[in-house]
Amino acid sequence: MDLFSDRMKPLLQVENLNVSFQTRKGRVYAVNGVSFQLYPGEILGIVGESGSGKSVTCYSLMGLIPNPPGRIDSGSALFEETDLLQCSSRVLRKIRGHHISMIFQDPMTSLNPYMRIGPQLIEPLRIHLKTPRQEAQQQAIRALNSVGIPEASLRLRQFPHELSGGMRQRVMMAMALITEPELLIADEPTTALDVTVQAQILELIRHRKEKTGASVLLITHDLGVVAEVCDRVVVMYAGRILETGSTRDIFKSPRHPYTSALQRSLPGRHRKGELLKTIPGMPPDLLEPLCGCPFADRCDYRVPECSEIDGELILESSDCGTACPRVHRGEISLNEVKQGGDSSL
Amino acid sequence: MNSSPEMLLELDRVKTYFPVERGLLFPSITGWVKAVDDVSFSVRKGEVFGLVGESGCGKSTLSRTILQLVRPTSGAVRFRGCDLVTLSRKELRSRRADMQMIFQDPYASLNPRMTVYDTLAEASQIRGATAANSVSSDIRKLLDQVGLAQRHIRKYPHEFSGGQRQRIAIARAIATRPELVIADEPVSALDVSVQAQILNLIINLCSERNLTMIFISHDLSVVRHLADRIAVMYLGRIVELGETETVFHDPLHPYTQCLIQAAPNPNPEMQEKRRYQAIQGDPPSPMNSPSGCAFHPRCPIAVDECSVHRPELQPLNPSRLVACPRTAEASAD
Ligand SMILES: Nc1ncnc2c1ncn2[C@@H]1O[C@H](COP(=O)(O)OP(=O)(O)O)[C@@H](O)[C@H]1O
Ligand SMILES: Nc1ncnc2c1ncn2[C@@H]1O[C@H](COP(=O)(O)OP(=O)(O)O)[C@@H](O)[C@H]1O
Ligand SMILES: [Mg+2]
Ligand SMILES: [Mg+2]
Repeated sequence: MDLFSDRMKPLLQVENLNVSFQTRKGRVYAVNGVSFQLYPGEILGIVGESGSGKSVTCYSLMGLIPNPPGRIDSGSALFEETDLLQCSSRVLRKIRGHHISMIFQDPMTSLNPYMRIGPQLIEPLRIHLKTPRQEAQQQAIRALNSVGIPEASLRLRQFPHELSGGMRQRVMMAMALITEPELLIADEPTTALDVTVQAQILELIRHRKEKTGASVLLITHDLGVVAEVCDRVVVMYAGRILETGSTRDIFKSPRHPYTSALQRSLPGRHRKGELLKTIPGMPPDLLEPLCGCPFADRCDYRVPECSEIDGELILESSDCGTACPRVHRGEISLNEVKQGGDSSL
Repeated sequence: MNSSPEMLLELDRVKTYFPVERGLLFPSITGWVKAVDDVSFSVRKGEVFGLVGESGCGKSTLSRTILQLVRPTSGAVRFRGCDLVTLSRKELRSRRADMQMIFQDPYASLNPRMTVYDTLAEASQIRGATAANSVSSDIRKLLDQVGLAQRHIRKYPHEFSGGQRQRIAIARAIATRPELVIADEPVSALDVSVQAQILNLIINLCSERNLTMIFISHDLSVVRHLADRIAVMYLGRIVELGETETVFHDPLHPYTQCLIQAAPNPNPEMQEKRRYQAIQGDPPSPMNSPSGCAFHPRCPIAVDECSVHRPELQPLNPSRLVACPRTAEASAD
């Protein structure tokens, strides 16, 4: 455990998180043995295809898993000194909105449609910091300016529906950031946005980290978004972490066959019109506790052992790990993924 | 515009406006949403024609206008030389088999109460197949072609995954043996690995059946991979049109440049080289489109002139059109 960890303590340390849901068909094992750390000043990406457990992981940290049907079966999530999974809802509410904020794909999850922007924005300041109204108002204007919203004092008097989608997303960001939280959790914050607006929001996230040194946990299914803003990445599949590493390494020399296959299937990695490399089959059903590597059925490198022994994440250094024992032992080399030949995309 | 024999589809100054109405009892028209505003282009037989642009710029309305699911306010849509705008509903029905559409959300476009068999049988009948045994054998072939197992034939849409449903929608579209298929964001809702499977299916079908396709997507890497030529739309108008590779290598319209730069690149090494200032602002609403060039409020190179005159799409050379006099001049020098 070198680099990051020697110098600083993680801001957030998630250990062996397991979450399941009771459904009509049976128990769905949505998150299985997930562990990761997030260091101060870092943007950590959680990337994976839909249903891989990204949102459930984050909702668990925020106490947002509906119970029933959901249940956190085990695990801990230390934020500074507090275990977010154990603490009382009073303590959690205090942390939430002050030290940890969350933004979602759909801004209307956080915005109240019947309330003007102004009162919504200053609410966390009034509640958590007891800021006087006048000053809160000023801060709200600064917050809107900082996310690139012009005519801020006018916006304060508008309702959410009077704003465009990109504008609402920025208001939600301003609201999440107004208390200057140490950690921002962003669940697919740009998925519903157009590319030019997405670029603005990603720029904001990057800029804020550079300016304030706050950490971000960024959830996305888009490898492009990961490459664009994340320092480090956790790759999830079927509720597990298959690989973790620096963004550069994950793209340049992935250490799990899934990560490698996913990148190879991108159109940008092919010659024009060529058939794309695909991953055969589908992700496993999460209705049974899984035995062996969840990707084994679809993996080009599988051997009988893969379906038997549990693919635990093997940490190879402080910020790099693979759940593929064969890669770890050097039995297979996922020869370097060719970087997209053309630079313009 | 000259009709050249190899053009399958020609759009000539097509406008599709939607009225904005106010008042409940006595609604009056207070304005127009210019969803498609004076669009002309031609699609060659056998090509994949890409259409890109941000949401609300009119891509779906344009496709619906081509199929006459919405009637244009003015302009002509010629399919094999025949102007569809002048045809009656009944005359159009007889041509339904020639043009088909694939949507982003197959769940919304498939009838939830029809099995795969019923859906495909209905489509085959549009083409004219009626004998039960020929319909059955058609359907078996279709399922093979789109990579669905025969055992799924009696299942309903909700029993399938998103990717499989898109396969059913594609099977339905090709069941009528169309000449033209319009695919409106067909892979946008799918995961990367499923997206690759569906794109491969589309690539194979296009080459095997010599289909002509209009492929709409907001994902530039997907369009770049498939399309022979692309048109870039902004607020109801086409701002640039050309051979795909040429446009990507050397985008001329400032909006095309912004769009290409803004697309996230799954290659972190490239990221560092091309950090740039994202263009500001949101796309404006087509209800009150800015004066002059609709892009001028966001354009990094706009001059006063741009807010006055609306630039026409001008040919730079026979295969390249741009609606920006500033870049057209610069590249002519
Ligand atoms: N409220 C719920 N009830 C039942 N199953 C759920 C619920 N929420 C999530 N799940 C299941 O948990 C798994 C992971 O979901 P999620 O974390 O939302 O995936 P992602 O965010 O990666 O797309 C999925 O299989 C999903 O069906
Ligand atoms: N039936 C309709 N009535 C009124 N406005 C419409 C209708 N259909 C689309 N529009 C408007 O036309 C514009 C273009 O929409 P659309 O063609 O769906 O864009 P895209 O597919 O590029 O996202 C949007 O502003 C939309 O709100
Ligand atoms: Mg999610
Ligand atoms: Mg559309």
